[in-house]
Amino acid sequence: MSALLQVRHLTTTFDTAAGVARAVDDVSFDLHERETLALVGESGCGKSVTALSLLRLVEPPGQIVHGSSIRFGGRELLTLPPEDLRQVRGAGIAIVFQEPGTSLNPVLTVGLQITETIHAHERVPKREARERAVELLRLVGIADAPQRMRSYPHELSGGMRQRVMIAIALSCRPKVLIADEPTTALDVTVQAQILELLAELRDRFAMAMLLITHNLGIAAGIADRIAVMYAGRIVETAPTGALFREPLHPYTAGLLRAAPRLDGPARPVAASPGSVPPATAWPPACRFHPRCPYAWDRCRTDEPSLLDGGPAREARCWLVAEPLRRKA
Amino acid sequence: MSRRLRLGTALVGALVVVAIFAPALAPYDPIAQLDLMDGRNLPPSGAHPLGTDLYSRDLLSRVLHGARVSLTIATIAVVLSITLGTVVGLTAGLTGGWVDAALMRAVDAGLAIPRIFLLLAVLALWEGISVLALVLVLGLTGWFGTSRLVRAEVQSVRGRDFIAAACAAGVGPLRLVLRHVLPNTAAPIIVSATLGVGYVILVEAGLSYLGMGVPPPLPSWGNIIRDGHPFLVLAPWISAAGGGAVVLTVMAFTVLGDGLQEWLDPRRA
Amino acid sequence: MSDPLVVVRDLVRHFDVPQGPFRAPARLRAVDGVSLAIAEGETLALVGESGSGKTTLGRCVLRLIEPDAGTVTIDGVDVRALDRRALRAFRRRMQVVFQDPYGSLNPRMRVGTAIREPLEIHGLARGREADARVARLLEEVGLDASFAARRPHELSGGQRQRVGIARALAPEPRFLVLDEPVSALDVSVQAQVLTLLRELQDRRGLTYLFIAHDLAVVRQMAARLTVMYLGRIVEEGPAEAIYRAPKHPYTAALLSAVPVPDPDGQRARIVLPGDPPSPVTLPPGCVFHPRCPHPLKDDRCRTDIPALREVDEGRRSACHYAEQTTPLAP
Repeated sequence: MSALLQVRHLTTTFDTAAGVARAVDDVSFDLHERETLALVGESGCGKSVTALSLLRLVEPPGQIVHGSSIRFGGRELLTLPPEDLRQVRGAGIAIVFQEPGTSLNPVLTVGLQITETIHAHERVPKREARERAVELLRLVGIADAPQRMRSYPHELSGGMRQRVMIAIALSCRPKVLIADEPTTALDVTVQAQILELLAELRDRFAMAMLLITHNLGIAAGIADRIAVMYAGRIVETAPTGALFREPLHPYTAGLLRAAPRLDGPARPVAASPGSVPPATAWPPACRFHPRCPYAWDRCRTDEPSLLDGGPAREARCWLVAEPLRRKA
Repeated sequence: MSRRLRLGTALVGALVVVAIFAPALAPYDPIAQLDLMDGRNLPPSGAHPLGTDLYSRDLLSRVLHGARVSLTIATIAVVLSITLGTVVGLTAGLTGGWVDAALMRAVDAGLAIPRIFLLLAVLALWEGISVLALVLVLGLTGWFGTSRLVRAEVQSVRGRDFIAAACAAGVGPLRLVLRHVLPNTAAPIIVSATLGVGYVILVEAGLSYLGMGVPPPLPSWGNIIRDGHPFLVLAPWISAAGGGAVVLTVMAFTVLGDGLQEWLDPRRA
Repeated sequence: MSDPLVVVRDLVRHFDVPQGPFRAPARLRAVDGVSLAIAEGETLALVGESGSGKTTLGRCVLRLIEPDAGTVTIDGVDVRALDRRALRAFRRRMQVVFQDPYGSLNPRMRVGTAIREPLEIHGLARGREADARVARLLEEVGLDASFAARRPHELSGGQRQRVGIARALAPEPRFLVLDEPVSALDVSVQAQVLTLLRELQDRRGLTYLFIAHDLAVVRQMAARLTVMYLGRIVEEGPAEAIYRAPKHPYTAALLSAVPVPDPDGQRARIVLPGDPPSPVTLPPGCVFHPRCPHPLKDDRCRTDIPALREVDEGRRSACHYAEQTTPLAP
C-alpha cells in the first residue's frame, strides 16, 4: 500500500547575509494512513521548515529547491496550481502551530475563524457552518461552546487557544494533521490535556499525524514511528519502541542521555559536547562527526547515506556498516 | 550598510560640506547687488549658473550661503528639540504615575496645535526676529513627538530582563539610565532627529517665505523663494533655486533617516 | 535546619489590576504568605506553572520587586530593612540568572563589558585586573576568552545563558536565584548548562534557589522541593520522597504530566480539567479545589483553607487529605 504522504529529496534553502542556508537538505520520508510519525530534533535541525514546506508555506528568501517532491494521495503538491493547492491546505492536510497567541487572528472572533475555514472548502449555508463550528468547539473540550463562538483570542487562555487551533484544523476533516510543537508554549498540566486531546481526535477521525517536537517524552507517548533530524537531514528512523531501546545513531543516543527523567533512579544528564552548526556551514562528510565520540577517518571524508539498520530502521551512520566500532 | 543608507549619508555629507565651505565655494558675495542696471533677473548662464534675482544678486551664491543658514538653524533647533524630548520622554517613561500623566497631557496639548500656527503665533508677538530667537522657538516647539517616541521605547526597555539584571548587580539609577536604558532607546531618537532636520528646514523655509523667518538680506532658501514669488512667470529660476534646494535637502535627510532606521532596527536583539 | 543562609517568612506581594474606569482595581495575589529556608550550599527548587507566583517570589527575595509584607533574611541580614545604598552594596552577595537568553543581556553592550560591570560597581577590580577576571570567568563557564569582544546577537541561546551566569558570578555571590535558567534551551544545551551549574555549585559552595516548571529538570538540581499554586505553597519536602509519593493532588498531577521518554514507561496521566485560574479571583476554601482530582474531595475543601502542615518527617502539605494522596500517583 503506498503511503498517504510521500516526501522525496525535499530541500529548502534560505538566502541569508551569511550565505545560503540549507535548512532542509534532501529529506525523504513516508507517512501512512492512520500513522503518527514524530519528527524530532533540536533548534536548527530543520524540522519546522520541513513542516512548512509540505504545505508550501515557506516565504522568500526561502525556497523549495527543484528536484524535491511531495506527493499527497498520489498528487504532486509542488507543481499543483494555486487553486488546487488551496483546496489541499486545510481540507487534505491541516496544520496546528506552536504559538496559539500569534497564529489566531486577534481581531476576528473564534467562531468566525472556524467558519471561515469551512467556507473556504465547502459550500455550506452559514447556519450549518456555525453549527459545525459549535460542535467542533465541544469536541475539543471547550465548555460553553455556543457562547465561546463570540470570544476573541485574547479572551482565552493559552490552552483554550490551542484547542481552537485544533478545532480549525479539524474543521474540514483532513487526512493528515501536522502538529508543529503544539504544546511547547503551554504549561505542563495543559500540555498533558492537549496531548490527550490530539491522540483522541486522531483516533476518532482516523487521521495520520506528523508531530514536530524537540521533546522525546512527547514523541514516546504518541508516535508510532520517529524520525530524528540533525543539520537539515534525517539521521535515524525507527519504530518508537526500537528507537528508545536501542538507538543506532550517536546523536539519538546523546539526546536520550541528555534528557532529564523522573522515572528510574536519579542520574545526572550526560551532556554532549559542542553545539549545532549553523545552516550556512554544515560540516563536510558526516555532519555530526565533530561532536561524535565514535568518529573515525571514514566519518570525516564520506557522508553516510541512510543505511539499513533492521526492520523498518535506518540510520545515517557508518557504525551501522561497522558495528564492531561501537565500544561498550 | 544598505544602499539607502549609503546614499543618504553621501547626500547629507555633501550638503554639510557645502554648508561649511559656502564662502569658499560661492563665486560672489550673496548680498552684493552686482549690477542694478543690467544685472537683474538674469536667467542661468555661465557667469551665473543659477541666474540672478531682482536685486542682481547671484543666486548660486545665495543658495550656497542659504545652505549654511538653513542647516545651522535646523541642526541647532533639532538638537534642542531632541534633548528636550528625550529628557521628558525618559522622565515620563521611567517615573510613571502622576508625573508621567502630567507630562503626557502637556505633550498632548502641544501636539494638538499645528506647529506652523504655533510658530506664527509666537513669532507674531516678536517684531523683527533674530536668528537666535528663531532657532529657540523652533527648538522649543518641536520636542513633543520625540518625547512620545522615547517614552514608548523606554517603557518597553524597562521591562526587559537585562535591566533587572543590572539592578540585581547593584547598578545605581544614573548609570542604569545612561548605560542601559538610553543606548537601547537611541534608535527612535536618532531616526527622529534625522527626519526632524528635514522637517525643520521645511518649516523655516515656510516661515522665511512668509517673511517671518530669517531676516533679509541674509539669504535663506525660504526668502529666496519669496524674492522670486512676484516673478514666477518671468523669472521662474529664482524661486526654483530656493525651492529646489529645499526639496533636495529634505529628500536627502529623509533617505538618511530611512536608512538609519533600517540599519538600527534588525541589529537589536 | 541549623542556620540557613536564606530565610523567607510570610512573604506577601499583591498587584492591583485596573478593572476599567468605574470599578475598583482587582487584587492579584501573586505571592500570598510564603515561607521557606535554604541551607548554605544547598539547592531549593521552586516549582509551579504560570500564575503560581514563583517568578514574583524570586524577584521579591532579591528585592527586585518590593514585597508588601514578610521578611527576607540572607546571611543574617534583613534585606528589607536595608536602605537604598546599603542594598546596592549588599547585592554583591545575591545574584540572579534569568530565563530568556535573548532579553537578559543588554544588546548594546559587549559581553566583556557586561561581565565587568559588577566588578567596577563594587570596586572589586579595574582596568587590566578586571579584564583578567572577565577572561577567567568566561573560561569558567566554558566560553573562550575571546567572547568578551562579542555582542549578544552574535551568540547562540546556550552561549548567552553562559554569559549571564558569568555575569552573575562576577561579584562572587553566595546566593543565586536561577529563574527558569534552562527552559528556553534545547535538550543538549540544557544538559550542558545544568552540568555547568552543578559544577559551579560544588566548586564555589553556592546556594541556589532554582525556579522551574519542569520537574524532570528540577530532579537534576535540587535535593529539596517546594511546589507553588496560585501564590501559595502546596507541598514541600525532600525531592526524591515527593517524586515517589506526593502528598498533594496538584503535585501528583504535575508529576504525571511530565512526558516520559520511554514508550514502555507510559502511564495513565492525571489530566486536570480546565486551566490554571487567574490569581485575581481566588476560589473559596482550598484554591486548588475546582480542578482537584482527589477522590476524597468534599465540601470541606470548598470552605476551609487547608493549612500547610507537617504530614511526615520533613514534609509539609496543604491538603485536607494529604495522607491519602499517594495512591493517586501514577
